[in-house]
Amino acid sequence: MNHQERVIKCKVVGKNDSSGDILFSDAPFNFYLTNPLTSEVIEEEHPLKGKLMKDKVVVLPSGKGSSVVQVDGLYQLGMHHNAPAGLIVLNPEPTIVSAAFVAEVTLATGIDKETFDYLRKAKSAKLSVRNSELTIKY
Amino acid sequence: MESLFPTSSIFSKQGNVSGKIFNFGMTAKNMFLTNNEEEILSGEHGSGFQYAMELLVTIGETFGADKMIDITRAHWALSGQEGDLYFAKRLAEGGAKTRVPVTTNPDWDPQLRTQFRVDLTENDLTLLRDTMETCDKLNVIKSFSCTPFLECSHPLLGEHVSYSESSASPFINSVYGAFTNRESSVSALAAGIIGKTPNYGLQLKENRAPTVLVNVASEIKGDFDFGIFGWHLGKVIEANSIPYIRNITSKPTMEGLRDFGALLNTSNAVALYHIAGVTPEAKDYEKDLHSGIETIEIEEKDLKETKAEFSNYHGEINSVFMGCPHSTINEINLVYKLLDGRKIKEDIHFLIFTSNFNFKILKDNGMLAKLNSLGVRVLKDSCVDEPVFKFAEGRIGATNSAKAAYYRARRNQKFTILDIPDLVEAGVRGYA
Repeated sequence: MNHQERVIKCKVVGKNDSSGDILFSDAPFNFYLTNPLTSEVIEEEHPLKGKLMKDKVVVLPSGKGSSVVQVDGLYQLGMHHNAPAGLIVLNPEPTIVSAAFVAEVTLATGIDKETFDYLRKAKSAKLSVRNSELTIKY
Repeated sequence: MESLFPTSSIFSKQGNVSGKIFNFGMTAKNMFLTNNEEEILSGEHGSGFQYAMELLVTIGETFGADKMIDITRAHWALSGQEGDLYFAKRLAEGGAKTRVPVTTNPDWDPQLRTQFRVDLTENDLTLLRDTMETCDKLNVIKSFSCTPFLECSHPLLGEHVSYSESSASPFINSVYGAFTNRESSVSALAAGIIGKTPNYGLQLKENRAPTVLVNVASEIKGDFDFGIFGWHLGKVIEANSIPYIRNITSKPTMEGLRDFGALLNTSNAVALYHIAGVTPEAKDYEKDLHSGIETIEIEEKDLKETKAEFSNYHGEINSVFMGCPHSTINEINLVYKLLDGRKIKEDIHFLIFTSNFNFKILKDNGMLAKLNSLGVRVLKDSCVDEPVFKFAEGRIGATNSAKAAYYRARRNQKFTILDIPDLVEAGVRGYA
C-alpha cells in the first residue's frame, strides 16, 4: 500500500463508487445554503462559505436544520449537475442520509473521530460501495 | 456485490425529472428482511413501493437496524419544495399508496394569493398543484397541519410511528411516549407507504434513557417561558441528547410543551426529553439516574438573557406572525380577549396560522368574524414559511415563535420575539 494512502472499512451507500478532492468542514452543514447554479456555499459565517461543492468529496461532522431544505438543497445541486461526488459524515442522522439518497450522492458513514481527523488534512478520497471502504489519499 | 442504486440516473437527463420508472437492484447487507419485505425491495410490488423500501433499508443499514417493524401511523412534513415533491412523485408514479394513516404538514392555501394580491411565479403555482395531485395519488390524509398530534392523530404510549416535522417528533416521543426517530420528511413518507420503519434508535426502549440531567433553578411559568427554556436548552446540550428535566414547578400546558419541544429541536437536534412529574416515561428513569450522567443547571439569568436576545428590537413593525407551530383554539381566543375591542393598526398584517380543524370550529363559533372585524386574519392550511407572504420580506415583524424567526430569515424577514400579550400590543400600536 502506498504510504500516502489509508483504507478504512465503513458503511458506504450509493449508486456507484465515487471519488474526488476533499472539502472538509468541522461545522454542521445544510445544503440549502448553496447556490445550485454554481455549487458555491452561501451560508454567512460558515467556514465553507465561498467554496465550490461540485465534484468534491465533502466531509462533515453532521447535517443541520430542517429535513425538507436539506433534501431540497442537495437535490437542487444534483439537478444542476453541481452535486458533490460524495459525502462522508461523522454523525449522520436520517435527514442527511435521506438527502444523499434522493440526490443519489454516494455517502460514507460509520467512521470514527480518528478517521474524521485524518480527513482534515487529506487531499482526496474514494468511496467504494462494493467494498464498503474509503481510500484516503494525502 | 450489487450496487445499491439503479444503473441509470434521473440526473443523467437534462432538464426536469421525467418521472420515468426505473428498475432497481438492491439488497440489504446486514438487516434481516422478511420474504414480503424482500419482494417489495426487489420490485415485485411495483417500483413506487420499491423506491420507498430502498430508502428505508438505506437508513436501516446506516444506523444498524436489525430488521423492520410495523408502524401504526406516519406524518409527512410536506412542504411543496422540489426535492420533497420529486421523491413523492416518484412514489406515486410507481403506484405506491399509503398502508397506514399518513397526515401532512401544511403547504399554503391558494386563496391567499388573491387575498394578499401577490405575484407568484408559475413555478410556485405548479409546485402547489403538483403537490396536491401527488397527495391524492398517494392517499395521504391532507391534514395540512403541523400539529396533527393535538387534533387528529394521537398515538398511545409505546406505539411505534414515523413522524417528521421537527416540532412534532419531540411531542410524539416525549408527551405521548410513542416511539419515533427524528425522521426526515421523505423517510416518514416512505414509512407510511410501507407501513414499517427500520428498528433502530428511539424505536428501542433501551435507547430512550436520559443522557443528560437538567436541574432547573428558575421559575418557568407560561407557554412562552417554556419555549424560551427549550431554545436555551438546545444551545447548551449536545445534539441527540436525551435530557431528563427536574424541578419544573409549574405544570406546563400542551401549548407550552409543543413550543418547548419545537424550539429545543430547532436550536439543536433533540427528539426526546423527559420531564419529572409530567411526561409518561420519566418515572421509568427517576430511580436510575446515575452519578456519572452529565448534569446541567439552568439559572434564571440564562432564561432572562435568552428572552432579552429574542426581543432586542424596538421599533416599527409591518406584520405579526403567530402560529409556528399552528396556534390552538385557546391561543386564538386569547388574542380576541386581549384586544378587548381594540383594532390592529391599519397597515399591520396580523396573521394567525392554524389547522383547518381549528379554523372550522372558530368559524362556526363566530370567532373568525369577530377577529376579522378587529383586523386579525386567521389562516388555515398554511405555513409561515411560504412564498406567498412576499409583503413581509425585507421588513421587520413580531412573532411568538423563535422557530418562525429562524426559518423566515432565509426570506429576508427579521422578527422580534414576544409573548402573546405583547404581540397583541405590538399589533395595536404598530410598534414593538
